[in-house]
Amino acid sequence: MTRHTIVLVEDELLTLRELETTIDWTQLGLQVVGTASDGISGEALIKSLEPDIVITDIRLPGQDGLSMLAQCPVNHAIILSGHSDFSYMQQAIRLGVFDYLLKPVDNNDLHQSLEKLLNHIKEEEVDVEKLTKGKMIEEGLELPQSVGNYIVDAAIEFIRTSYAKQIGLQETAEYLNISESHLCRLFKEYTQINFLQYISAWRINKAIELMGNPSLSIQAIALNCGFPNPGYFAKIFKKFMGISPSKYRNERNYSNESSMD
Amino acid sequence: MSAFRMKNRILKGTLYYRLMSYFLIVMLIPLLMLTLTNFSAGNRTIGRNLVEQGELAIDRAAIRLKTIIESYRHKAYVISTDETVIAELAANAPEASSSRSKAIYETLFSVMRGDTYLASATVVSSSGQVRYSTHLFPKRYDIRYNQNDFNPFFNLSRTASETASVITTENRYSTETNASVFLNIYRKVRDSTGLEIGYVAVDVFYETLFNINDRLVFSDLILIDTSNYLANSLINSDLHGDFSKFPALKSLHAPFDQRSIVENTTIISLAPIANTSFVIAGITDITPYRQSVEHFFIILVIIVLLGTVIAGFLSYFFTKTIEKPVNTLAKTMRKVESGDLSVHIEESSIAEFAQLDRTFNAMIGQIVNLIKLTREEEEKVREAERKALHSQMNPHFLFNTLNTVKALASLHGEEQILTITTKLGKLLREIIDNRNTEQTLENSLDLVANYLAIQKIRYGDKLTATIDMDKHLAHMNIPRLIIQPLVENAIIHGLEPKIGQWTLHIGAHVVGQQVIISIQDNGIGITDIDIPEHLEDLAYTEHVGIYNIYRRLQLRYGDQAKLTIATQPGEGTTVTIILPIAAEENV
Repeated sequence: MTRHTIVLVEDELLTLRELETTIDWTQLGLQVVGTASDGISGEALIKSLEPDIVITDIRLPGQDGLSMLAQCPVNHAIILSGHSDFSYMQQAIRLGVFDYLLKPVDNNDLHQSLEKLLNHIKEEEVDVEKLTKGKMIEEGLELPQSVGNYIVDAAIEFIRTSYAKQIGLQETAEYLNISESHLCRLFKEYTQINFLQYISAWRINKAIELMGNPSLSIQAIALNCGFPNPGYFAKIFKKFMGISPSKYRNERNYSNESSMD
Repeated sequence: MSAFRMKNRILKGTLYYRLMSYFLIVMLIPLLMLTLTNFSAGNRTIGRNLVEQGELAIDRAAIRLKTIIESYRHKAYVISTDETVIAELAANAPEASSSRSKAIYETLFSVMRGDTYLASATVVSSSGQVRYSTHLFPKRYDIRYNQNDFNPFFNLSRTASETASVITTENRYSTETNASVFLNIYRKVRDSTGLEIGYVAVDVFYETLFNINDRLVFSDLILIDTSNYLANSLINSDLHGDFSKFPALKSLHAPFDQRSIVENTTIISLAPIANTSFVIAGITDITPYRQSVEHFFIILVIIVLLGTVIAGFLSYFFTKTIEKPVNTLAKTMRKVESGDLSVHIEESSIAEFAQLDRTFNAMIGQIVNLIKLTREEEEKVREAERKALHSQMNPHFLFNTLNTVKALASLHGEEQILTITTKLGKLLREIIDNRNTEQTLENSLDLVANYLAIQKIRYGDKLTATIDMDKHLAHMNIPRLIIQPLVENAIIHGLEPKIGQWTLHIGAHVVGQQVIISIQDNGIGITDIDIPEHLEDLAYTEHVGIYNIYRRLQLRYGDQAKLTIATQPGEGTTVTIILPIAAEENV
């Protein structure tokens, strides 16, 4: 069974050691692939290992945990912090952080949170599999465009016109004037796909289109498709297409050339 | 609440029935007065008027009839004493010379003077040989063939005075001109020696009576001959005979002097005609008057019924118009009672209620302001407390240190330290760090559980604590830090001074429409102070903690929340908080 990888970032060594040793990672189906004790080395570590999950403190030497997460292609993160400030929590929510636990951390709470996160990841994987099953790499992802529900159709229309901007669930729900949870539920019901997965897949499709233009850099493509940074784009791209954006581009150019022969 | 509804129903009842009775009184009094006037005075007046009218009319009719009879009797007398007539009858010659007969006719027509369409005059000799008439000679007067009883003049011999006329209604017939005879006047004609030589008959026609029933007062006028009890209708010439032919006369009997008889359906007005055996009777039919009275009564009943229904409807609608603003006000007051101060009453369209609504809104506004002021004051105090704590020690340092202790304990396998630090951390977070004013019952009890877990480590087996909550109450919101301070009180004041086993039970259950939270210990009980009947009185004692809890419950739920303390020295104390389950809807 493939284990999900996890990276721990915590500046207090006792706490880091406690986390590493007292949580039964194996039993959860996780593998700690690296630890770091400051924001800079943490960023480097995450970029090189591309773990599935990051657990981090907020106050870190070098740069804080939230800035570190913003720079990295991380999909899932849990924050452990002594601070209960509202502004920290808000930022964490914007970054899509999965959970925010307060110190002193109750290990039971952390355990529960990790289990929930793993379930969530499993659901995501099912969605991705559904979207990529049996597709040739060149075709991009097949997405339902019209499902017969006017709210869902309006949401898809909104994605179609605004995917290049930094829109997410919150912005779409606001635009449609309904609650986020309602939109989420409706969207899943009619398209069988999670809203966030759908918008990511749409952006990947647009990115694949733009890759045909050799004058555009991977970074430019990422920004033009509404991804906040190239790292995140690469991570999502790999999740859906199985290979990194640059590799994909090289292979396609090669096959195009060979077909010209 | 149910008591209020009941009161409301009674109010509705009285208002409705009061209005209804007022309307009915206003409507019925004039009607009743009108009815009384009509039925007592009015009815009698109509009756009296009819009798008087009848008496006047019958007098007039009697005089008129008497005049007619007198005038024709006189004519009969003139004919019977005429020389020419006497001479002709005395001659008793069947073939009269034309000159003599001409003189007789002249006499007859001059006496009748153009009245021949009103009456006929006939002269006949006692042998029947000489016969003259102003009309075709009536066969009944041809005494050659009519002997004795069939002779109309036979009766003349029986009259009291030989010279007087006989007036009778017995010989009715129609002339060749279709004039009906209703009255006959007979006279004997005697010669100078007194010998009976012939008869004179004057037959009076109905035409003489053409205006006898002027103004149509009577439905019938009847001429009654009291000598033989025969009656003749003076209006309908076909109606004559004994009394059985006249329904109105059935119960009529002597004496026939001037009077009025009031019967069920008729008034009979009687007037005797002087110097004759005749009485004239006027019949007034009072059925139309009776019917009009009955109609009046039916209309009255309909008006009363209709009026009652209208009064009912009016009262109902009026009650409704009043009920609406009253109910709105009552409903809003109930909301306020249960702690919801965000109410605002739309002003009623009725000016008096609008004023009430305005006053009520203003009052609520003032209450809200007062509460806001109180809350702000409380907030300021709390903020000051938190700042004081912050200035002494950075809470992050505290929490991070606790985390380090926890990590150490975990690494060294110190389970109890691990538990204490984790629970203490949560407890402190809840007390210091939380800015919400409310939390779920589940969270509140978690906090209590954390607190008890630490105490359990401190006191070991000596302390047995149980927490028991109805599952569906988990998400009910209550003010934060209500239960934990009471639990802490129970341990510090109730259990710690006690030797032996300590038990503590915290329960949260639904009973009817209320949630009952109880904190029960088997400690020493409260002995140092008396618990006042009104917890308000705790405000200025050292037990300000429990007063604060009481105040916060009051602010949140109003009178729907209760806090009671039951204590038995040496046995234990039970603190009970009662909250409304419905208050959740108003949040």
